Amino acid sequence: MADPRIDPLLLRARGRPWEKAIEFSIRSSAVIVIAALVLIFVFVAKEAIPLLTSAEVHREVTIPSMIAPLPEDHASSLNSEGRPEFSLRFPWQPGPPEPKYKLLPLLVGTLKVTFVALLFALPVAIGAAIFTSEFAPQVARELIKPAVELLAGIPSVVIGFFALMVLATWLQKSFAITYRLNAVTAGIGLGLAVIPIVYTVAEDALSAVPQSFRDGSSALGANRWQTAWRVVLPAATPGVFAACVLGAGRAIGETMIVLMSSGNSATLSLDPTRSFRSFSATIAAELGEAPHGSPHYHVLFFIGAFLFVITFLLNLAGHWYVNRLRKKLKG
Amino acid sequence: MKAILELRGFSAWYGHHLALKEISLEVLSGEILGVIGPAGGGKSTLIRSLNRMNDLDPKFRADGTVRYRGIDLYKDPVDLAVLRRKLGMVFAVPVPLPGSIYQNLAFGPSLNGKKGELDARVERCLKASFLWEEVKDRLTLSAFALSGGQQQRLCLARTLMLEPEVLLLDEPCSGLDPLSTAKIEEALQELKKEVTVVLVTNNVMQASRCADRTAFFLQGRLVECGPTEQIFVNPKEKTTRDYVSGRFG
Amino acid sequence: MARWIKVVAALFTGLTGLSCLLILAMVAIILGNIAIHGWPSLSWTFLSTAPSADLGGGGVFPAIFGTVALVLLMTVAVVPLGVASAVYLHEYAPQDSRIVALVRLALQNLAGVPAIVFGLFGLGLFVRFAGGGIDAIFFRGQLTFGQPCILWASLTLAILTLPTVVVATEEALRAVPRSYREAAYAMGATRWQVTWRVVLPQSVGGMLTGAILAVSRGAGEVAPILFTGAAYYLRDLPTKLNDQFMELGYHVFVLTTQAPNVEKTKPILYSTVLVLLLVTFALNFVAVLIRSRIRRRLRTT
Repeated sequence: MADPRIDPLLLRARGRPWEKAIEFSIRSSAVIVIAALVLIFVFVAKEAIPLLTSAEVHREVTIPSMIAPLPEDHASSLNSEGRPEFSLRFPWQPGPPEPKYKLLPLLVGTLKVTFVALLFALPVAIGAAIFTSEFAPQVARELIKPAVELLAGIPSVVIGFFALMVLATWLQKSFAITYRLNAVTAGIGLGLAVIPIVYTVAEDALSAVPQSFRDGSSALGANRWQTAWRVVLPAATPGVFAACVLGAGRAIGETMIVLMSSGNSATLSLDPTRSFRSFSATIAAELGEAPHGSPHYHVLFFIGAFLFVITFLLNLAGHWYVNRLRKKLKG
Repeated sequence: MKAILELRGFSAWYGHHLALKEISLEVLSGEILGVIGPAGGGKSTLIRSLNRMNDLDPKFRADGTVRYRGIDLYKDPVDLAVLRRKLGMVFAVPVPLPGSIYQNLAFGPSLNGKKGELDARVERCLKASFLWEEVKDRLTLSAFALSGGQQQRLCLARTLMLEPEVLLLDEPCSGLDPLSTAKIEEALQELKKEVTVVLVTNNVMQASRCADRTAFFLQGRLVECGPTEQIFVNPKEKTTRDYVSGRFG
Repeated sequence: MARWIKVVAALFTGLTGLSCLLILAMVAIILGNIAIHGWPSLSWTFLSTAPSADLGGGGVFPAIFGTVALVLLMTVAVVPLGVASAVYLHEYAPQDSRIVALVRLALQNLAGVPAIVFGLFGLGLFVRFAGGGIDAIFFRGQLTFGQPCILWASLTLAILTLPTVVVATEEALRAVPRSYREAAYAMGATRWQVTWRVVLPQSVGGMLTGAILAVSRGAGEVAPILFTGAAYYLRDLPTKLNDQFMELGYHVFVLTTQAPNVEKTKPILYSTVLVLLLVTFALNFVAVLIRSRIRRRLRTT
């Protein structure tokens, strides 16, 4: 047949070496992307593992000790009247002489501010999404979408600055709150950061509902709101739900806003008008002072790993719902 | 005349859809082979299988033999880049690349590292596509500034720059005005002296005008193949007769 | 019955419309407040001098310089990686392969990782592991790269902004008509030649958009650089890769929370915030302009 040594049509062994090198780098970039996500978890968890394994760390803190309350007869558990008080039995005081690492105040703080943020952001963002996709003329759409993009473009440190300088003062004056920096202030600031992502995902979901749904409903005599409430919204439910989940993920992970406007006091209380601490703000505030390799250092990384897992799961769930919506509306 | 391309029992699938069923066909050196048949008959699949452009479709699968100069194009280790230069293709819709007319023409040779003296070749290929007179003073203008017919002749010239042995034309005149069509058909008659042409066409009259031999495809099968005059005047199969006389299309 | 429905409908319209107004109002209030208080102190002197040691006066030039240097380094790292990933996803990978699904999943989740976790990651992988390794191998254990510095901070931000660049580049790749690629293949181009000679030149707009959006995001994120290199008062500008640096966002953070005399620093603080906002928005605006030009081209082909 044809001799590969003579016929140029046949592939010679050497091929094109430098093109193969480029192709290799392109393929490996994909690996780097996956590796980045994996490495983030690995390197954060790596510094958290001593909390589970190191005997030296265990002398100061263990995972059960971070959850369980101080005994009732412990000196720190007693209030000014000498009686044990629930909120005093979970102190977060990493400093000497006797470091105490109870997670409950941080957990309650995080949940408090997330709750306030979502309470504020979800109705506003979803309401605005419904208005722009079902009801608003083009003008409102040209106004709201750019405004939301502007809001999304504001760095979180600027929102935190605004919450601290302006929002806190205004809230304190208007509602006569004792503590200027609290979960309401931080929560509203956080809500501002969450609104863009909730609005965008919800609006996408509502717009993706085919016009034929709306037309069919109008043909049966429904007005715009009945159509929106009983036809469009139910059809877009997975997407709107995804918007909420992704918004919650953003709220839990956000650091700067809470760091700047929460008051950074790790007291355990359900009262949203008191200063508090969140998980992410704790890491940001204390990592600078935790000596490398100390139990405090490992605890902070443990909290970081925990945050990673929670937000990862929330993001996974959120995107899964978006895909479900896409499939549902396609056929 | 010798066969330059030879298909034996060649079948092709897109996913589960069987597009070509056991085609056995020869393309003779120096001829213009017309490929006719209604839409969906497999004509495009056929010529795209010759220069392995179908490989770009991930669902494509082939079986059987396609031989070119003795090499099995699907089973031997073929350098696709070289193959596609030897079997040049022109598509139904003209696709000028972003850039000037000259840059479009120089694209093919530049892939092979050939720089430098292309001016002579550019002139030759534009003349062979009957486009030289119209663009000789405007070679640096954007290719998108040309009319549809001019763009298609540019694509023909661009393919000729590769100095192919076979030209695969996939309905090259669809959507072109009669004047441009005539110019391209005239170009083919001249080119026949140097290259072999496989011309897929939806226009039965074009095949009768240009082709030396004609092959009729229907629903993935090769119904009949023979000298053009015989196919049109005295075809062996009834379906062939019905198609060329316009009874269905 | 009908009247009740009309009332409810009006109520819904009112509430949802109010939400829109609320968003508009909040954006206007935030931007207006910063502009009004920040504009008076904004001057050329402010932009070109260094801050005074007590953080009560002076300018923000080192912070501007540090921010620019930081995002420049970040861009050098993230653009090649992001473009290569987008090229892989769109041009090279078989569309239904598991790797593609994994990479897309990784990108989506990378975008959702909290910024402070990126900071921890930067500290763990870059500062300690990579930096410590480099020190051990090349500097005989002397502390050179195993500490927070502009190199590690920019790499951390590069990973953070990677999804932005990939998404923008992919959008541009998708805008290139398939027929261009086919025509090139038919002339005997290899996959790399098609990518390099036909697809990428047509995608420059998208790559630019991605880079600009990444820069805008990188200039604003503070949490990832808290422990990987930012400092609040440095006498010298960063000149080596293992120098620390000042940065606009970090400067705002420190001034806001740690300045001893809040009233004295208020004008400077506001001006710094204004500078940061102006830079961020200018970049975003340019990126949006380029992106809308790409989308217009997509619609006409």
